[in-house]
Amino acid sequence: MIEVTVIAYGKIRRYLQGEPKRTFKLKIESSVRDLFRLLGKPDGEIWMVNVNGLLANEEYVLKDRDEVRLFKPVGGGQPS
Amino acid sequence: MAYGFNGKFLRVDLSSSKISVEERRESFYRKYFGGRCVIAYYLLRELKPGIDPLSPENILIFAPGVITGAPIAGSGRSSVGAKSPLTGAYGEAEAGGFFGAELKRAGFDGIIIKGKAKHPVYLWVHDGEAEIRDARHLWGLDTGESQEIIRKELGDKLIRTAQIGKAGENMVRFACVIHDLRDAAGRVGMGAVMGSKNLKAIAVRGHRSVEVADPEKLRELSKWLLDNLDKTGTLHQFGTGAMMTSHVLSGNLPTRNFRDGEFPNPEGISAQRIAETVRIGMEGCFACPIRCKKVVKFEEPWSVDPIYGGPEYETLAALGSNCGIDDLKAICKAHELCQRYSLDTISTGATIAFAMECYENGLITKEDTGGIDLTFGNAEAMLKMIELIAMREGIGDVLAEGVKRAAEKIGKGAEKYAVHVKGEEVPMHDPRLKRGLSLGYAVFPTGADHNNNLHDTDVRSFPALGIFEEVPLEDLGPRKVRLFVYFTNWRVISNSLLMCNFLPWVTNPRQLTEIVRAVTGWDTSAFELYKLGERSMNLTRAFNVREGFTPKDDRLPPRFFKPQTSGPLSKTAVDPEKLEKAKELYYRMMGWNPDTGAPTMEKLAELDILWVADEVKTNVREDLD
Repeated sequence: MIEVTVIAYGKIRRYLQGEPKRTFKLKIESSVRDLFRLLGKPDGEIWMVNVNGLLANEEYVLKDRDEVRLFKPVGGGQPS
Repeated sequence: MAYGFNGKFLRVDLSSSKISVEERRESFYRKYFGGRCVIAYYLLRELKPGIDPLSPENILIFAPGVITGAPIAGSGRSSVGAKSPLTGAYGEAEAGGFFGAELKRAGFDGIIIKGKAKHPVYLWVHDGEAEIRDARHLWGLDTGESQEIIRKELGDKLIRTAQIGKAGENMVRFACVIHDLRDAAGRVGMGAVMGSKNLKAIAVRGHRSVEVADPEKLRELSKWLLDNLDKTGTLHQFGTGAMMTSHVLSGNLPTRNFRDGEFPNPEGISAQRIAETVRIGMEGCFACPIRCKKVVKFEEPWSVDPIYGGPEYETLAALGSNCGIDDLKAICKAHELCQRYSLDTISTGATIAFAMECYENGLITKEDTGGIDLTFGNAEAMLKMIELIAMREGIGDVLAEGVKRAAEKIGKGAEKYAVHVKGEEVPMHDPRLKRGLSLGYAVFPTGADHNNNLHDTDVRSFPALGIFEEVPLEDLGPRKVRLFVYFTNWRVISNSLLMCNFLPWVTNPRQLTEIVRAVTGWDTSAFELYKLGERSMNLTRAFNVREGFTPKDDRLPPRFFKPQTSGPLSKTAVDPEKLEKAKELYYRMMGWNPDTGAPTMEKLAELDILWVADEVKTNVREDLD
């Protein structure tokens, strides 16, 4: 198993039970997509991902002690 | 009866002081609608190719659209167009506020201005009439002072204005046209064209309503919007600039001339911080309940006048993070100065950031700056540079030419710090994050344009037009190009209707079609509107081809082919080969010649604008003969 810290911004916090930060235990080789499934991200909703300070996508394979930041995307100056 | 338009354009020749009215039939509006399409139509028809954009030969056009002034949210916008003095290409910018709606209420669907006045003048348009008035007493005044005097001398406090300040008068190549003091037709130097014609302002007042075919339907849509204001995110609460943390976490907040990826205090320059500290209210545009316009006021350390509104996201980033500045009050003051002088905040911030990077690398020195320490983060220096640019004093005279020309003048390799496309400074969205945006920056007619672009951070599909499967953010292949083509051809219709892009129905073809039907009474469809978007893209493309632009001009600045120096995008950049392939595919999907970038005869015929072929002399015609 690996342990990752998830930090959520804005409305995504509701998927961490309202907490800004939580840790999760995941199987080795789990991807960001697996994390999304665990958190219950609705289909069609776009979440942006930053892992350890770098932009990442759903394919990214998580490693032990990764710090994952989840936030809503910004479009053309207006909120999405 | 005609709905949504007056059937009349005002023609003004400033050289001869002659004013006339041109009547247009419904078929003209049904094909060109207004705004961008109408501007491109007149420029292609009447502008001599190859002219100096700052000469009397340029044609300046103010054009609202068929929706402008109708009782529906988002209808407050109008366009200003001409050949751009910044790019030499098709030039146009749009502004919100009330000016466009007032022009429609005054009985005109547009103003076509030619020539140059012998001395400063302003145009007074009211209830179907127009006159040219002396503006020698207004020349040199800030926009706020000028508007006050105009209203006083014409005896009407409700007069709306489009005008220039000192930057426009001094023909700063990125001077804008300030509407109602608070809004700006910001980009590609339309204010400089106004200045070149000795035209200080246009004042308008009208007392007739814009007649619409189905007011009940518009009331129904307005009620829907009020019930669904949450679909506009936090615009109603904060305006733009409320998601600075998201910008930084994704690497999208331009920092130190698009060089770096880390900005220590993004929340310090956010719309929320503005609300907590210097904001005294929110205002809206004509008929709009969203009211996304901030109004700021404070007295120390600088005095900021609330008549000039407050900074949008683009301004917060351009004059803030992109100059390495996190002093919110300094950014608000910079915004106010730009409104006073009629400077585009994006190009102003980007140009100062360019100068700061040149300074840090020794390409310009204190000797050049008149003793100013032009290091990133120096807020006082940024404010001083705005003054120098507007007055064209000292190094400000070099920077007033925009980064492309300034880099040529400075030399010593300064072009590598000049972040522009076709001469237009890049707005505050990073194509290293948004791949769709990289294509749009490269190919769009006005240069690096964010308004009509594909922000594929949040647009990954377009089900209403048949794109159901999500296209990944980092994709720049055929699926992304298809999404780009569909989305941008749709989105650009806003500039012809005109409709504000912040309204949720802009990307809802069913609702937007309902609005056009209700305003005009036309039995229109999403198909017809999509074709309007294509027509707009082809007319503006044709203009640029006629001016000598080729696929080589459809390029990105090299900075975006390298990662940011730090932060979320420090390991990713735009792949130039993939961009070239995407560009060629885009031309082909648009029905353009992949070698010349010119619209083909078939495409022009399909859009019923075959007359354009004679203007651009597309080399494809020979193939067809």
